[in-house]
Parts: sequence; C-alpha cells; structure tokens
Amino acid sequence: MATYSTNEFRPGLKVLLEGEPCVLLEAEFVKPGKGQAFTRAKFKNLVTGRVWERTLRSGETMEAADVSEYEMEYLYNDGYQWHFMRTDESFEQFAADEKVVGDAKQWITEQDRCHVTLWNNAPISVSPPNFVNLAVKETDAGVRGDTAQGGSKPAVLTTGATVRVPLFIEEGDTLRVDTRTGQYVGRSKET
Amino acid sequence: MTARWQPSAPIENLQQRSEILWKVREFFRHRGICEVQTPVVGSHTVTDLNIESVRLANGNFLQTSPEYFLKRLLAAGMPSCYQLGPVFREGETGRWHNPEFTMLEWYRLGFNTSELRREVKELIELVLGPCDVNEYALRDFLFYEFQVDCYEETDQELHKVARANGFSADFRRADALDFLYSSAIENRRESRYFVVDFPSESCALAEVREIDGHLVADRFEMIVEGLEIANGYNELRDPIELKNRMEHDQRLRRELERVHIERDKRLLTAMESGLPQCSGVAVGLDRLVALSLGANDIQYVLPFTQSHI
Repeated sequence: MATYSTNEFRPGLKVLLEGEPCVLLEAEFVKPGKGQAFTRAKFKNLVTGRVWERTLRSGETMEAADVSEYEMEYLYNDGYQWHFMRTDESFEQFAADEKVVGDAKQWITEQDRCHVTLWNNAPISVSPPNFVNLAVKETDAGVRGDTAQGGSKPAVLTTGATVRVPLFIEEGDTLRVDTRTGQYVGRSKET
Repeated sequence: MTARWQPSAPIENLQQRSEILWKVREFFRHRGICEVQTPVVGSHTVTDLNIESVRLANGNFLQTSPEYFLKRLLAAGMPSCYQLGPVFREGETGRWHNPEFTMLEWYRLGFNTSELRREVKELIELVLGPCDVNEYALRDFLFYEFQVDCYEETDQELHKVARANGFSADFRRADALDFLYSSAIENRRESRYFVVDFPSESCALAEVREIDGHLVADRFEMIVEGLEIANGYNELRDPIELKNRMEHDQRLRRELERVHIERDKRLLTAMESGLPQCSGVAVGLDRLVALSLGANDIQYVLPFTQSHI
C-alpha cells in the first residue's frame, strides 16, 4: 500500500485516517524551539464531510486512500438505490444508497451528470451539477402587488426540493437552481 | 503571481527590516555589548535530538546557532557579546520556518535569567512597542490549558490528553509534552508572555536546579502573538555535565536511528578552562520583523526564502 510522509503533504492528498478516507485540506510545519517537529494538518472526511484536525510527528507516514472521482450520468432510482454510469465510454455502473447520495437526491434527475467519489471502487459521495433545471410542482398563486416589497414564497420542485422563489413563479415553470446554496437563480429558457 | 526571479518579500518590507536591524544594533551599542561574527561553517555541531544540521560535502556543518563559538569566546575572556546573522536547520520549512534564518543571540556576564528576561522585554518593546509581559512556569502553563501536571502525570494519562487534542503520533512522553506545549501556545490569547522553568528533559544547555522536588531547567521562552520569539538559559558551566548531556543525546540518536553527531571537543575543553557565569538568549529575528510589519509568513520579510533560491 502506498504511503505519504508528512513532508510530501500537500492539499488534495487522499489518505486514510482512522480507517476512513480523507482529503488533506492544509498542513503546517510546527516546531517548538528545542522540541520535536510536528505537522499540524486538517483533513476532510470524504464520507461524512467532517473536518478533522490532527497533529503528526514530522516524518511520520499515512496510508494513501484509493479514492477517485468520476463524472457519471444518473440513470435511475430503483426505490432503494441510485444508479450511475461513468461517462468515459467504460459504461461502468455503480449503485449508491441513500446515505451516500445524501442531499444530492433532492436535486438530481435522470441523465444529470454528477461527480461520484469512489473509495476502493464503491461510491462514498455524490455531488450534483452546480446548476440544475427543475419544474415547479407546487406553489401558491402569487399575489400581484406584493412584488413591490420584494416578497418571495416557497415552491416545491418535481424532485421534492423546496426553494424560495419570486411571487411571479407559477406551477409548471422551469427554474434554474444553484445546488450549492439551494437558491433560485432564474427561470430556465429550456422547457 | 510573481515571477520566479523576484524576491519573496516586498521591497518596502526589506527597507523596514533594515531600520529594525539598525535599532537592534543601536540597542546593544548603547549597552556596550560587543558584536561578533563567528563562522557559519564549523567542524562540529549540536548533538540535540530535535535539531538537524546541514552537513557539507567536506564533513563540516552549517551552524544551527552561534552558541558553541560564542561560548568559546566567553571562555577566552570576551565580555558580554552578541551575534546577529544567519543560522541553518535542515528540513525546517513552513510559514514560520526557513532552513536559513536570522538569529540574534547574546550573552550577558553575571546576569541571571530574570535580569536577562528584563533585557529581552526591552529589546522586544523597542521593535514592537510597550506591552505587559507575564511569566508562567511551564508546569502551571500546561496545567491551566490541559489540567495535566507535566511532572506527576502518568504516561497513559498524558497520552490520553494529547490524543483528545488531536495528537495522532505514537506515544513518546517528551513528544507528547512538546505537542501540548505548542498547542497551549497556539490556544493562548495573550499578546506577550514568558514561559519559564522547563522540565530537565528539555534543558539543552541550561543549568538545572531543584524546585518542589523536581529537576527544573533555568530556561525561558518568550511568546509573542503565539510565536516563540526568544529562548534563553542560565548557561550550564560544568564540563562534565555537558559531556553527559551530549552522550545522552548521542544515545537517543542511536536508539531513534538518527544521524550520529560527534561531541565538540573544543567546546568541552573551553568549558574545562572555565566559562564565566552568564545567561544567554537567542531571538528569531525574522519572526520579530514579521510581527513588527504585521506579516503572517516570514517569506514576506526574507528577501529570498527556500522556494525562491
């Protein structure tokens, strides 16, 4: 198994920390005057998204994590799992359960291109496209005149996500949404 | 991004650095302390476990501090003196470290560490302006932060506390204490303070005395804005004790499979001929300049750091 020494640490490195795959966010060299040199590092757990701070003795090694990220097309949901296929002609398919898909499930529709992170060849996280176009399934009819106050209202989209939209949005409109913030960006030209 | 040939520090910072160097030299001149320039290349170097020297192809070493040469001068009759110049430490690279850096080191004949601390405080105030400075014994300092007693705590308990605070290396007592010490410094929100009375394991070349039944090194560090700025000792004068400590370092180096370092026999003979009672301190000048300019990385006060040479 490949290992990395602390002096090879650079942001983006994928390593195993307490048996879990993590990405190295930053590392700093710390040394008390007459003392042992340390590397103080921040890791993001790729499964839970939590940030861990750890201090290693300089020169120590960490095991590399077999982590890779691929663009994949979302194919379908069979009721239990979400199925994805690599877009690089390999046509390799992967199934991810609800825990892995996480928040992405409220944004993605079939044929969307997502980024799927694999650890030891199994999905551990799914990132939806930054922007998605989704139709409004349900929203109260806007009350004209309220727009002057810059009012907004909730709208439920076909995927189940709820976003705040301007009052003029009607059921059946297709919206463009930023999945990173969950915010309405505008009405989509595509239908 | 700047082009590769360009310096790592803005020119204005280097001009201000020059002003600070003038002030520092003035400070010593006013006190009648002599500036000396000892060699940066020596046939010997420190045996200290946690300091790696740069070894040249001819077997000589770039000096990690002017300490040995300055002590030989003191033993030969030189009065209080200082050196301001480059020192070298293998592999130390980071925001606050560069393998070549600038050390201001001085020795005061007849001073105890508390008198020397007063002088350090004045020098720092000359560069950074006045500020209150408290003193904490290392034992209290660690206890306050982590509720552990660095003398009485069992290895097991110490390891547990270090782990709970993010220490993920395998356990060695001295390393766990170093880790807790550097974490405590990082957590402490106090502009300037001294830490005094270190456990004898980290005495280096300081005199050791007994306090409350524990062997304690007469050593201090000054911390400014979370950075170690100065490290001082009441200097060890006993040549036999010095030789013992060097042998102890050599043994540890062998156990940990580090490079073997010969003892500096000329330093030992100089000590035998007699080092006058004195206290000495080393100040990280680049860090001090960075603090004065509000820079958050020493690359902004050094013309060319490691990645620029």
